[in-house]
Amino acid sequence: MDDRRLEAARARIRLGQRAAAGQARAAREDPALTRQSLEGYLRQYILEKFLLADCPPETDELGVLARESLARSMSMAPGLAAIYDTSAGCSSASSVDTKLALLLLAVQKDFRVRLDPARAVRAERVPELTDMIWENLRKGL
Amino acid sequence: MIRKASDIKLKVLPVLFGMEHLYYYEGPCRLVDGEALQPGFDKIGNEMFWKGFLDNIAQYMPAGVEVLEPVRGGRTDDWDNKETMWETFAQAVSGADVAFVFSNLGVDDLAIEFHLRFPIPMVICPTSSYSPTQVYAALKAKGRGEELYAPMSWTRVPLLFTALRARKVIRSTRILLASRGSSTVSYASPDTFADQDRITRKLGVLFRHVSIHEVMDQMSPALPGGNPTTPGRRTLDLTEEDRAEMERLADELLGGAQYADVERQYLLNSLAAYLTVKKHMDFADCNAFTAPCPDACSTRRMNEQKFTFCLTHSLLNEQGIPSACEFDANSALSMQALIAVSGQSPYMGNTSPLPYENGGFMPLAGLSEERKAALLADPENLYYMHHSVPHRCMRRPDKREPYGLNHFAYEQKFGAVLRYDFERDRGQVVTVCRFSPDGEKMLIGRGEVVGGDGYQMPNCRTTVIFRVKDQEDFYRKQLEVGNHCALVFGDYTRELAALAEVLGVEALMA
Repeated sequence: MDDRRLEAARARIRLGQRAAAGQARAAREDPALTRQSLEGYLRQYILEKFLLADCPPETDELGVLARESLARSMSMAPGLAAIYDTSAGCSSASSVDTKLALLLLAVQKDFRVRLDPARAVRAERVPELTDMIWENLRKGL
Repeated sequence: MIRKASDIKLKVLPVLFGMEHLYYYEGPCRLVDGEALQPGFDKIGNEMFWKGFLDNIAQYMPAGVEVLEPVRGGRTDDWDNKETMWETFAQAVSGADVAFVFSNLGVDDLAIEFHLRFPIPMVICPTSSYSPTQVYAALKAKGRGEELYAPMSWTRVPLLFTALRARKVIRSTRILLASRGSSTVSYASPDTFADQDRITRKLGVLFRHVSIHEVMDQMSPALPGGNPTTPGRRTLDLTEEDRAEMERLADELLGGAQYADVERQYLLNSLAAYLTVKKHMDFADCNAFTAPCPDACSTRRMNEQKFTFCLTHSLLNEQGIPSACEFDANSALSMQALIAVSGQSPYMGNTSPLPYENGGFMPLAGLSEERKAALLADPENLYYMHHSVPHRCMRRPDKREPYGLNHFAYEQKFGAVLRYDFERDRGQVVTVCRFSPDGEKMLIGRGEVVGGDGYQMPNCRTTVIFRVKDQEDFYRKQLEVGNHCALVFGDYTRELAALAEVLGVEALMA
């Protein structure tokens, strides 16, 4: 494994996480937040989290974004596959499923909402996830 | 009520087990890192697993399956095992035929306990980590492997559930036998189910009986004071509504036929028989029928009333309700098996090899000399099936094929029969099957149609000729099961073999 490539990749990840957190904070602090603008913040949040902001794919399908993210991460530093490839473990989780589950966990923490897990996992596109977050924000949860 | 095979659904209960870690810590049970180690992640992770499982169920379940509302259960890393969870499961299980269980690391013991508590068949999700082998082996060792299934991958799931659903259809079969003398075996079909009780115990089929004399008495309007066989009783005699339906069906059959060589009155007589039988099946809650044509024939009542049961069998079979000639309940059940796995409407008939020896075919019943001559060009591995009960939906249950109308009785020309020309099906694959008389084996054969015979002929004369892989092998296996076989178009040998396996019946593949 190339340590410099790995360290550069990790630095890129940290940058992405901070940028994503920034998007969530901006959404929370936006006094004129609408459902439409929330979708914009959420999409950018996901792109930053998934390290896709530099060259965003033309899709709002969460599964496709997760797969693209994994592919780009592994191309950044092949040694990262050992970390990202959770399908090599003992559970039934695919790497894409784990990535999406982590996204849902992070969204709840960063946007300060609580989502029903059974419903949240059924969100297949950014607009559907936006609807759930918007619903929560309006309820003040 | 007549509960057709197509009405019978296999009710599948998805059971979702998952584990939740309550605290952040690492160790041999923690297979993730970062945020995934935090409390709250497992709830989402489990739902993700279950969503994938339910999506696969939606994708891979075959027709005839009803997926019930899933039930969720599991535990935390306190290793709890709550009775309240089992109480919830018990309520859900009561409406299910099969449980389809998603298990995982840390909850396999719950999947095992599920099968110990609830003796319904259980299928283990193929993508449940290492659960299929762990759970299966553990239950087998506890003597509970009989109704446990662990398909290796999702592509194997449709066949398994097709077989389980078809088994439910077999177990839901209620055969109405219109008896003359014996209630089990007729003179014409000594190879049918002689021990009906044995078949009930083995396959779950139930047998109901009615006197054929009572049935024949009821093919005409009610008599004051009741029929001779049932004096003083109200019975299922012909009504004005039945007459109107007979006329309607006669118009329909005559109007759609390529040719009709039977008088309308004789067609109406046969339709009276059909409607009377159907009313009896509805009354007895039966979904299959057979009558002893030769045994009943010798009463002379069919000659007096100018009808045969051929059209009854044809019209029931085309609706997916198995109806067999010659008191052959075995054929009725064999047809039900084909309906259950294929959704097709079957044919049945005397089934024989056509051995080609010394430059010619043996003289055999049911095949014209003209037809035999035409087969000489390619005479090897031929078989043929002939009877008088083809119908209008031979190729597909929702599409009527060209047909003719003829008569059974040569001289008096009564006994309306449908005719179908198998010549138009050259090259089509057919599946043939029959249970053995003791219900322990099933012949499952595959053939390719090479022609037909009898389209313009009266009497018991509709023949399909098909080529099998190995005539000698087919014949040796047919000797184990008997004469009448059931037939549908298409290759359903895999599905029948899977059905035989879940029934505990030996499949004789030919």
